Amino acid sequence: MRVREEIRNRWLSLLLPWALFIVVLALYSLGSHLKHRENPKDKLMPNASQLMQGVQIATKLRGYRPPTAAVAAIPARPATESTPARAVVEAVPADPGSPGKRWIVEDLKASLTRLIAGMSLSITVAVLVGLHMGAFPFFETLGTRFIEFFSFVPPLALLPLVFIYLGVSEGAKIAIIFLGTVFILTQDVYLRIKEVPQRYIHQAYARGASTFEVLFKICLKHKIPAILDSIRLAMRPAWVYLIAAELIAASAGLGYRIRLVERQLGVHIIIPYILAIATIGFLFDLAIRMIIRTVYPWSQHR
Amino acid sequence: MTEAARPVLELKNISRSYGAKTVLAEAEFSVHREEFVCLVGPSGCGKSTMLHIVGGFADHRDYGGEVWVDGKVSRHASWKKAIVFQENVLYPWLTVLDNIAYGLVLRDLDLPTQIFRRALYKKQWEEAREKARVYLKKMHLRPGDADKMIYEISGGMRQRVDIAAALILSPAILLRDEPCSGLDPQTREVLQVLLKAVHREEKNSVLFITHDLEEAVYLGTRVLVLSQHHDRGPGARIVKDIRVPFSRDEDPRPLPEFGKLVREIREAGFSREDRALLAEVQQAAVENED
Repeated sequence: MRVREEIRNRWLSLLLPWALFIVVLALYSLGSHLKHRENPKDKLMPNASQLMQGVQIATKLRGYRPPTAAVAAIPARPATESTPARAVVEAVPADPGSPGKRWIVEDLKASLTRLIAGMSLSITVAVLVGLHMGAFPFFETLGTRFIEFFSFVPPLALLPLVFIYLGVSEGAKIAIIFLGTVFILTQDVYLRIKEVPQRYIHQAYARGASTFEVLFKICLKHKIPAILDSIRLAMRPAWVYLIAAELIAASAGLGYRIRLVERQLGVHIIIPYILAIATIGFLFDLAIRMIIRTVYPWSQHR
Repeated sequence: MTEAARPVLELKNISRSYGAKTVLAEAEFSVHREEFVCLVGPSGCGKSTMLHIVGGFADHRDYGGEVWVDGKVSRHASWKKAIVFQENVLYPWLTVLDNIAYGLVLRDLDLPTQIFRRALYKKQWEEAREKARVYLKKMHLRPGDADKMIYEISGGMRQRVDIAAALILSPAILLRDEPCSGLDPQTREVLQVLLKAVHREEKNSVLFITHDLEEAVYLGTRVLVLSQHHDRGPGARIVKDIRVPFSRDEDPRPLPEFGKLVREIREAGFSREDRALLAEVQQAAVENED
């Protein structure tokens, strides 16, 4: 094989990406099988049926109550001599029942809401600040040292502070996602905007554009696909901080559930959850890549 | 001076130095209405610096002298000095037609209209597009190309789009920076013929920077040579200002005077070392024969 030599065999290029998945699966199955031979009740490397059980537990509908309208059908009995007024049975309103919740759905809802809220905030701030820093040397000199310095503070080290100031509210988790992503995103946007070729700016002014127009209609527009790519990369640390925050202090969410079942060695639940997290992350990544390819085809190497 | 006789562009005593190094020293020339002035010179002599200053991209405190456009001092970039760069500046997210029309939108529409009066904004975009179609035709681009994206068309076509985008603003002067370098000879030929034809039709004033001397003599009504190889101190100056005597209606290249003029211009740009080296090589050839 020579450096950069292309793969000739079509089957090889189609199957190769799956090879490692299959290897891991095989090794795990082997390990699980050996452990269960030693101890049939092993819980550390759950086998297929245990994993299926775990999935069932995660997706089981809990707390479902069908609506009961029966009680409302009984009309109120008027007071008579033998029954004091207090004993009158009042009409009971129809009970709508309870729709029930599944662990996995509630956790996904909670986690994704926090992720999207945190990222939206982070993206807004990063784009506005990064755009101005990249375009105006004034803001550049003002901000680079400051942002660089604070970008070295690991957000996980800020966790205790966040919990002190914001308690264990939703705001705390959103704040952690925000703090974990805003510095890298701002730096990324700043660098991308600085990459806009000088002649684009010269020519825009030479065609009579105002500074606002040059900033938003030319610099930013030119770099939107690059910024989307930076966002795609920033999703990775965002997930990390989300799960970390939920592991520590939450009442719902993927990280919370993982910590909850850890106590009872619920590996057969944790592994499906981890696979779910990985799949969602992968899908987000794919979605952004697809958006860039379809909405901004001109950004691909021409 | 009457309106018609006043030069469109005047450079008065332009000098530019970076620290101890003087790049331009007392460069001075003017471009009159309908003239096609070609600025040539050896590479590195400061043509690009000159263009930066004329285009208004250099801070006026960094250079000496003044640039006058249409009788007024001009310090900043403006649509009156529309510029077309060597590598195109075409926006990849707009179609060809929109790229041509964009200059009008940028210049004529202000921010409040764009945000608050969308209907008016749309109407003016449509008008700009109509005008852009006219210029599309002037540059001999086909109507079918109007909706193509920039990355779908060839380099020569991109140059034409860029020129159309500049001409649509009816600038006082069109600045062009080495537009044909990097293109293959056939495309260059086509582009040169087109540029000359467009200049004849539009009768606009052009300042054209190139290092291809044949191109300069073919296209220009006047050729200026900028060179630092002269005896009047450091920094480049205009060492030669030649009016091209050929008729604009016929191809002057077959004429023997064409070649003579090109040679004359080339020689004006030689440095002392160049001349010495040429003499040495010639001497050695003569001696080898003996």
